[in-house]
Amino acid sequence: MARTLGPYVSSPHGKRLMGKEPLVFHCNYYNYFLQKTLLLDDELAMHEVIADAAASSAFATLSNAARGLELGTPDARRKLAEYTFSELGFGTIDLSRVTPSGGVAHVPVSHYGRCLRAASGAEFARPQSYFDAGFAAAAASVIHGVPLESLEGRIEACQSMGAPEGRIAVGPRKRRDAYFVSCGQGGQWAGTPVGPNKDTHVDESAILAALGTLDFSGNEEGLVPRFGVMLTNHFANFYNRISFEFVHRMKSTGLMEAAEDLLVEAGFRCAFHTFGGIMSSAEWDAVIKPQCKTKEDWVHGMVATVNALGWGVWRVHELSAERLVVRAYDDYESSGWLGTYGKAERPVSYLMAGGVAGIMNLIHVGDISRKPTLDLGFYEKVFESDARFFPRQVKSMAMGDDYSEVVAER
Amino acid sequence: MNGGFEARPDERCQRGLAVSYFVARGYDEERLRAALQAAWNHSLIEASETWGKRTVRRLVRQFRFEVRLGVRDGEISFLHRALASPEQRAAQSGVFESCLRTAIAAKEERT
Repeated sequence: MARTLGPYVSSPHGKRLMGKEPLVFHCNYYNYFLQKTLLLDDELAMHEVIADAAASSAFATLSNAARGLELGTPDARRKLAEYTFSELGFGTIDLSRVTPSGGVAHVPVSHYGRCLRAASGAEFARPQSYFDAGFAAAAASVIHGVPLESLEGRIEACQSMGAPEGRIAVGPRKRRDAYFVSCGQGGQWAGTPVGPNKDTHVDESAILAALGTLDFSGNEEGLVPRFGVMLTNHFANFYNRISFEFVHRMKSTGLMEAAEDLLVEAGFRCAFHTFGGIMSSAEWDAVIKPQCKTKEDWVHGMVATVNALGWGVWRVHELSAERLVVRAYDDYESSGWLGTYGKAERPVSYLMAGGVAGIMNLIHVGDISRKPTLDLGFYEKVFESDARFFPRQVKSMAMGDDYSEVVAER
Repeated sequence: MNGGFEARPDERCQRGLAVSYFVARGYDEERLRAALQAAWNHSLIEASETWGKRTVRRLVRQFRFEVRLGVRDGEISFLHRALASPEQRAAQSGVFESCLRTAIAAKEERT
């Protein structure tokens, strides 16, 4: 299917950009658990942050892409916005009834509306499509040349609550706080990462080449069913903004460390479902498993696969049955922090921390090679076991180190 | 096993959308491809992907379903599209399974 899109641009250290914005793959389970975590306390008003982060990231992507493609008409920019929404796995959106003064965007298929329901196993008591609301506002701004600050999207109907289609009303912005400005690639380390660990049968370059031939673009419904999950090729700065702002708001209530723990827990869920899904998938069996002769090879294979997700460059620095040390060059969380806030006082690679420990839990505690059913009972058995691995962030690019380092130990 | 295959719905992230079919004794892939095309008036979009040493054939009826042949030995992936109604999902599953039975029989006749 031919879509008018900003081109994908490869950037050093495993990054892939569209409209100068870094993209990262995440699945419906991570999107569900992260959003569930953020929305735990209504007083934090994180639903507003989620919508605003979506608007800011989408605005940066679409406006840069429209400029680069020299799209001179509202109709051409509308198609760009609709195609981009579908290409990246967010679903399908019809912006034809959104005028310069507002209107309603229709969302026949929404990743946040439909696919989070699959992850939760039930309908929701509140809408989940805050991302769609932000995207629609950004799209209206880019299509009609209206300042983003003057617009906002409001959820009128959401598939997560059983509506047949999502509806987003785009209209004048009532809140007075400004949208954040996306930092694009953010901080980048100028050096060259070390090569992949050689103490394995796994050939990372062959894995990346093989994965590079797979089609990860949204299908005609704008969804990406891969590895047994629903993927999104999402805006890294969206995740960064909502995660860091959550920590900031929790800090003001004296619960910063609890917030950090919750984000690491979301990383565990990501590892469990995304990595677990990948390591149970037919794609894994065909491309990566043939190279894996030992449990250590499974770790190396999973880390090689992570390097196809746009999260930065992960390197296995040390590995045994009791300990995994991963160094990440330009991990997207640190890059985003540096680009937005400058040097950090604490490590900020929450997703990475959860992911590194999650790999060890899946392989050494849960024996993922036996293809267990990845349900809640298995999650509790593995990630709440006495034998589970815990992560420690011992170095942080956001704090000025050359790389971020996570140690996972029992 | 029913008709030479076993159907296992995905209970995870693609809950309700994905079904894996297992055919222990194999099937004639070309016969299945042709039968599916014939059943839908040759309207299925076809593509193939290389997964390591494996070639996976994808047949798509837009907004209705996607079939992935050859994902593992004797395994076929059937993915309903989100917009396919429950009635359409039931109907297209029935047609697919009928085509699969034909392809299994063709393989058994050859061997």
